[in-house]
Amino acid sequence: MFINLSDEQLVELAVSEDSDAFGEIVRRWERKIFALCFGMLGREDDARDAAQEAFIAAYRNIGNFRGEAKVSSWLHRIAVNQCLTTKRRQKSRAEDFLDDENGEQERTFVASPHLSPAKTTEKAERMTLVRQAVGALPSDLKQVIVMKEFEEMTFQEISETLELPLSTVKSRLYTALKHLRMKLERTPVEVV
Amino acid sequence: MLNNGNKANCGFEDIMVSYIYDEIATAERRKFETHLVDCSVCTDEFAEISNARFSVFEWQKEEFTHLPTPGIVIPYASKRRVVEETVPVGFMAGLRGLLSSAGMPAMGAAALLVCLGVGFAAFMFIRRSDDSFASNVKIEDLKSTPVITVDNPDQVVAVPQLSEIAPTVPLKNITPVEPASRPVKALEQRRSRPNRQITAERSLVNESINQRAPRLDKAPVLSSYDDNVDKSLRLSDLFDDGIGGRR
Repeated sequence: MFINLSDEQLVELAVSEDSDAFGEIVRRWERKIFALCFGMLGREDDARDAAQEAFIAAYRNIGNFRGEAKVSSWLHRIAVNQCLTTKRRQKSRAEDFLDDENGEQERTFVASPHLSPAKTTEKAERMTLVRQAVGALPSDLKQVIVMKEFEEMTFQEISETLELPLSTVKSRLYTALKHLRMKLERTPVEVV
Repeated sequence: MLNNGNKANCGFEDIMVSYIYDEIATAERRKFETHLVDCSVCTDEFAEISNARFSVFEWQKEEFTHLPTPGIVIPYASKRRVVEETVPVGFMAGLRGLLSSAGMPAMGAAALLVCLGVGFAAFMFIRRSDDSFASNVKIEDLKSTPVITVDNPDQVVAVPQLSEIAPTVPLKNITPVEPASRPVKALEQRRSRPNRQITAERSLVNESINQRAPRLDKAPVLSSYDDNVDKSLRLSDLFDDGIGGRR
């Protein structure tokens, strides 16, 4: 019934108390918002909670959606704000994963069966390093690289969602990759 | 090398990123590849950026791709309850909400139903009007109206037309006799015009009509008329409008 409706039309229906319409919005965007939250926070459980809170906040404030921006932009803004709130909450509780230099916190890592234990360990350490490097990026750079790598959005889609020029998006992504390169080069992974 | 080893900006950052993510036009791709051949600085830069990008790509594939999408649960009920308490919904508001949520097809269907209802009501009204007009001239009313017969064929009698007879308007100067059937009476009245001479043949017809038992309860049946006796009786005469029909 809602398949042919645009996001904006679904929001209009949701404003008039059609919960099924908002359910369709959730169905369309839950994976991408979850990916964004995972890229911003680096942990599955944090990402899951942040995505849940983001959609609840969106539903509660759906009456304030003016239609001036795209629904994707609106949802991304809510999700990023929720991720930043989560990170501030974690910092206040000294649970920031950036402090977990040794990777002692639980991580979700699936080892490839064809790799040796040494290779598996090396890979796990590299993943930890990358996670920390992305976590250390400034928020605006991190958002662009997460949207590109985790949500698999095109430059044009990122430009429309963040309401930035196309050249600005590419420039931010280039800068983010440069930062990551410098961070990864400074912390070499020990090969056992 | 074009820039002699100097890490100067060749101005290919945007193109480099587009090239890495394969979102580049063919002409720009060729231009960048041509530049890479001649610029070692950009080539090294491209290699490092590609490595960083691949690390993030690998991280995403290893730690995120296999994760199931979390089931988002929205507390709809609580919000609905709040809305119901604060916004009273009347019949018209509910109807408006139904039509607005259902969209144009529902509105079109509702409009069609309204048109059909109005048309049906108009049809019934018109039909009832016709029935009441027809029922105004009933056999029972005609019974009360005296029928005029002519005993003297030479006598010219002015008989009022059927259309002139109203159920409540009594006829004047009329000798009341046994009521005849409606078509016969109509036939009589149509034939008897003011200043019209009644022929002997007509008088015979009148006599034969009068001798018949009056049909009080039901309309006359055409088959009951004997054409051999009453040749002048025609169906068209029953509906004679004064213009023609008598032969």
